[in-house]
Amino acid sequence: MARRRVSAGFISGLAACGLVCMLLAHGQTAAAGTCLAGQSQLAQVIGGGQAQPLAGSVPVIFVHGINSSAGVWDAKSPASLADQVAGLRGITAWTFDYSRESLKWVSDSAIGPSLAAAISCLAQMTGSNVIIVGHSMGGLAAQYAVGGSADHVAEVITIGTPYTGSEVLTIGERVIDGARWDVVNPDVAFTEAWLSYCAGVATHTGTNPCWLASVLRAPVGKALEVNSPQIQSLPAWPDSLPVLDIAGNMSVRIGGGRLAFHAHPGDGAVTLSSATAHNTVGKAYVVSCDAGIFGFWRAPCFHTSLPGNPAVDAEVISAIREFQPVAPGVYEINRQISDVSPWVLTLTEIRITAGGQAELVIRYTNTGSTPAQLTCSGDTDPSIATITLGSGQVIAATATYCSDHPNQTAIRVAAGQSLMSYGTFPDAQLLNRPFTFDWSAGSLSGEVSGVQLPH
Amino acid sequence: MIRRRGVFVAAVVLVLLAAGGIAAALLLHRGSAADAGPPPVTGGAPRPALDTIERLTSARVAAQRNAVTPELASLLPPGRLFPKGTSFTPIPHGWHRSGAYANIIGVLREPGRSATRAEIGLVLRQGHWLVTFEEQL
Repeated sequence: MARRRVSAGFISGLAACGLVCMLLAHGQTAAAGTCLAGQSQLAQVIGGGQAQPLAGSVPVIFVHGINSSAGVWDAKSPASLADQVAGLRGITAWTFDYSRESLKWVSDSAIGPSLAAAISCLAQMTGSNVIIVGHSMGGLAAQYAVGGSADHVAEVITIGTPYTGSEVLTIGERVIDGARWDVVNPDVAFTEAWLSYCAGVATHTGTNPCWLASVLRAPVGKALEVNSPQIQSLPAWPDSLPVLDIAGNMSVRIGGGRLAFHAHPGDGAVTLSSATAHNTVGKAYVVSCDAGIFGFWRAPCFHTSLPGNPAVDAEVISAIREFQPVAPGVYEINRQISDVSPWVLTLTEIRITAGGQAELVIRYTNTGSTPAQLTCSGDTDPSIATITLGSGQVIAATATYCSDHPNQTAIRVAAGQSLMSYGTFPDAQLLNRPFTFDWSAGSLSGEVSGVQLPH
Repeated sequence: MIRRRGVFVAAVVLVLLAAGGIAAALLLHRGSAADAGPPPVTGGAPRPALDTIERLTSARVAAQRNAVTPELASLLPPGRLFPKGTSFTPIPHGWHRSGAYANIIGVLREPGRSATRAEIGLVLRQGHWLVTFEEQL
């Protein structure tokens, strides 16, 4: 029975070679006979020239936006965000490309549904939930793909995503349709200045602002209008799924002399309110900058500049690091918990086991000149040791020295000597982000905040 | 017979003289046109758009403000937009249009200042061109 299965796998591997070989030619490391072999829109980013192993890694998928391609991530450049992420320990980075359909709405089979399949595949191949980084409409593609369920997704990070639509596009659609405005709308002034500037600009690329004008007549232009039916019919984000919004906030000076005025069009394509409409992780991250009407597309917080903005890249990497697998080992901390004569309590180190447990080691030092005594009496409940995450979640230890040694009621410690105690926590992965360690030990109680395992 | 021919010849001469006079007059006019200098540069812009730009730089405050879109006007300080004596001269091929939107590049001259190259944006609304921005290049 086993031999037949091996043969089948061998044959399917040979049959898939053609596809796999083609995929490898495009920089993909698809394994023959796996779901990756069918993911033609997925390409692994090889950071620093070395591919990280798939199994056990945390995959990060980069999803581009409207009228764009995976090239926006500039994956081959060593300084690019995608390349930096690919170089993180325990992380594999991937780009998802739907460039041929990037003027279509996210419900297109090559966008949302295909992204959902890619997410499912990577989760299966790695055994980890996936992190999605979506630029512009890529964030809405992620919203579609997630489909109201947080299964297989660890976090979503959006950059300039028009959660509630694009006001610039909305105004652009209306003005080119000859709409008349009953109420004077200052945002129209910016949009019309931009449309006037773009008249005669023949090349619409991601590096000049006129690319947005090219989507006005596309179906997706209507879909991205403020609160369009298409946007409103996207599935709701799951309550439990962390979503971090990153947005640009431009202050654009238009005109000179007495014709000068200022506009605040968000990142030039997506307003600040739209790009930060659904943030569930702390505060949305906003990058601000100033610009003039000429060259505002080169401003560091313009819509297409955001993915390569160093501050944005650093924020994305910081968010991803919180999901990096914690490597087994001993991490030195040496932070004081309390100092009540003659005892000084210190959180000395955190030991991560191969099984993914974390043991926090507490040293009780007798700084007096005579022997002193400790007791486990009353401290046998391991929940006296807790970790509080930044989200407010409190995790109790599953074991402590005293819970393991409840009968030790008289522990003698000589002058200048120490007793090593500990608190054991079940999920070391949780310690990958800043936390507060609380040690409840009667009069020797104390806490250490801002603790985090080094990456 | 000879008398009639003479009359005929005289008539022909008169016609020829008249034609020559007309031709001379035409030649004189062409010469005058040549002496009047080259035609104004429009940059390829249509007359209505140029009219709007002339209003924008005209001496009358109301004309200046009526040359811009209401949305732009709502964002600008009250009063004159350009000093009296301002002019804008399009450069050759300075006009660009895409649907209802356009821009024109030219030379802006304001009294007391150096001439500068500037771009003016326009939108066509209900058959009238209105200014959307002006920016020096």
